[in-house]
Amino acid sequence: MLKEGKIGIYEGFALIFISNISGLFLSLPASLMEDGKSMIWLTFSMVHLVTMLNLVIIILLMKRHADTTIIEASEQILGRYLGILIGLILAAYFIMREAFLFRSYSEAFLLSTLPRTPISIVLITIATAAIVSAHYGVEIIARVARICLTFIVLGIVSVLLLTMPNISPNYIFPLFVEDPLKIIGNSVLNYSVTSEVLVPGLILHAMGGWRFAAKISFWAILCGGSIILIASIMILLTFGVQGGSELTLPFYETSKLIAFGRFLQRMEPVFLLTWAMVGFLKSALYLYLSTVILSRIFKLPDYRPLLWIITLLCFVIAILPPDYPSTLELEGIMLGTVGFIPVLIIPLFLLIISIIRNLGVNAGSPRNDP
Amino acid sequence: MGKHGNKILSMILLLLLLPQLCGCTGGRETDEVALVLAVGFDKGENSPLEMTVTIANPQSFAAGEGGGGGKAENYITANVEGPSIWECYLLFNTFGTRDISFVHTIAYIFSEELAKEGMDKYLHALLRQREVRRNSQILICRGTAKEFMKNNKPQLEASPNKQYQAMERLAGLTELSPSITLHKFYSTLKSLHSSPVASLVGTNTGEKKASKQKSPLLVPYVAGEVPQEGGSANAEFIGTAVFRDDQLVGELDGTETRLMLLMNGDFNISTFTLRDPKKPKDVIALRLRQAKKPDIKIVSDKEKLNIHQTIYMEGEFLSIQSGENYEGTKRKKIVEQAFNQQMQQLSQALIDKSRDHNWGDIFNYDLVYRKQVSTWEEWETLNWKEMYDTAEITVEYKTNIRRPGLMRTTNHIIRG
Repeated sequence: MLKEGKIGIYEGFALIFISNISGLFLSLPASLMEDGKSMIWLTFSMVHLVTMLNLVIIILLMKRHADTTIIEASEQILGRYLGILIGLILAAYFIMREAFLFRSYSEAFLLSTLPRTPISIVLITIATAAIVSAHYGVEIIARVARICLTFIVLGIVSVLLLTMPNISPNYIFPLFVEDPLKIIGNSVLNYSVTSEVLVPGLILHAMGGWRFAAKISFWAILCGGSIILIASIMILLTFGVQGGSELTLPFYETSKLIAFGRFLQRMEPVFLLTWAMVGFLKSALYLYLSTVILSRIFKLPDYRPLLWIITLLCFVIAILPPDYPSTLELEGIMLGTVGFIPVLIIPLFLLIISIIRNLGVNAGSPRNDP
Repeated sequence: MGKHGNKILSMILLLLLLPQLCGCTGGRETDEVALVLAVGFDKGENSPLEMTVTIANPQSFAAGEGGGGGKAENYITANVEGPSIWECYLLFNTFGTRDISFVHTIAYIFSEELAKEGMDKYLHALLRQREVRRNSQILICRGTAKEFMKNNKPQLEASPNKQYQAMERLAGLTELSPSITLHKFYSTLKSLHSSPVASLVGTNTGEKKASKQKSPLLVPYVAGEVPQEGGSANAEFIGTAVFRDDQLVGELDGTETRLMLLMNGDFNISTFTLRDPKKPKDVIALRLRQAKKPDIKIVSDKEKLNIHQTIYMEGEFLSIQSGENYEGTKRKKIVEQAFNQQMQQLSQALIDKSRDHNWGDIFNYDLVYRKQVSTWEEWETLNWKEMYDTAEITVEYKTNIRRPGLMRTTNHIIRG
């Protein structure tokens, strides 16, 4: 039995919220703008809605299999071998996400602040930080996330408020595109895979049971998505569709515009620290999840022996893409089409089978439902 | 692995992270960097581009034996020719001891000649680089940027950097020069339909120019033509460079710049002088600010657009030479009406000029029209230039001289 420690409500919220907003600091707002044009407000709202529905599916699954993680639940529902297969798919997904996270954040550091540093040095730094944090467990990562949350939220809110003099509200117009359903459909397919919806289903024991895990993840993902939506609209109002969609790191560029008088300018290094916190915390969490999933599949008493090998695997995968555009392209596939399999299709499939086969602790006793 | 083994491993890993705290392998010490204050771009004689930089000289600020900075110049101006901006950047590092950096560059100055050929390729090159700040100023220089930067010797400031900052601040008090950043210029350029503008700069020849002022309300000068003598620098910041897409196509003088800023809603405060409506030999001076953003109403009929703009101004009397008591509620209306009428005529003339010279919309009316367009595709294919050229545009001024200054009335001198 794995010992995961205990995570409080605020700690859990901070952990999932921080992990959820990481895309904001990379190319996500620019990609959203490229696809949705000035209708980004509607396309991302729909993406956000689909993500919340995805979370509801996970919560329903957690509710039926109250004291088990998705890994154990899939074994209960599909049997030992198919359950292992599901677990391996989830592990592979998190390992790939971790690897792309390593690479994306390393590239972002190189582009913004460390242009002369070899990427391997930055990758090793992120990987080392992740392995140290994951070694101490999710309880420690969540506590650090709770402390960092204030600085991260302050950082984001400050950037958004201080760039207000640069915005042009008219950039939100025209409000629509010619084929809105097609654009919304494409955006939902490309951006609504949010791996954070799986987090409560994987560490529900640490969060104090499925009820707390559901509540925490609901608010964290709702707030995280809303922050991304607001920030993306602000970026649109600052750069316009044409200017904004060509940026590699739009939020970083927004922070570079901050200037109040002669003294309050060149503030982006301050904000970079908050973004670094987000990157380090998310990589620590995902490394932890990757190893914990494997430990649960193979019924290992401890996940720590796997940390080294998983980190090395992530490092190797991270360094494989020859350039940043290839990384973005591959990440797009992982986030988009392929990502739907572990994040949406598998939980939905498990839920349907569980209902059909009348499995789970609440099966046949609706009076016990909360 | 036991508990001790884990602790030792964690310690080793944490120690591995420590070297990163000293700034990674890409760190640069301040004494390794040459901070470029301003960059100028001209057409080269033998290469496509000539780049001039003004670099802060740390020797002049270093404490010497006497406690001062010695006799070294505060800044150094150098130039080099090359095929591209970043090739020139590279070449600068072959004859200086320090790595040049654009992190603190406050102004990018383009020569007229280069601007006429198109700015797009240079802007892309600048904005792609992490050192370049989008809130740096973009200036268009009459003549060459090299000559401007060499002749620009601000006597009241320690460096041109401070001068550019001061001129940007002063532009908000004179409104004879727009304050345009790289971000603003590029955003307008990319907004699909407006014509971008930039500040115009130039140097005077040292000779006092003849005054061209036909009416006191006009400031008919562009940079290099101000009838001044003994100013604190050879550089002048007045007028606007007008672009069609990314190419320089025209200039606005001081009056026109002020009108454009008023119509754009970017006007802050300035001083206006007009003929006394009752005693035309005398003048009245007013300090006026834009009371609120202009109201712009755009109505489409089948054939053309009807644009009606209302500009609101408020302020105070600075001078009434004739001694007429215009301060009262009824009599101040005479001045307000005269001012509104003259400004209206000047604005209409500027709109006509922008059409005659084929400049396109320099007043950003397209930003307002965006609200009437329902889809992005419609907006992308809109022929705004033609719509602007055929539109019926009327400009109305509503001025309220709220305060009389520190004299509430003017009494006549009692002569004995």
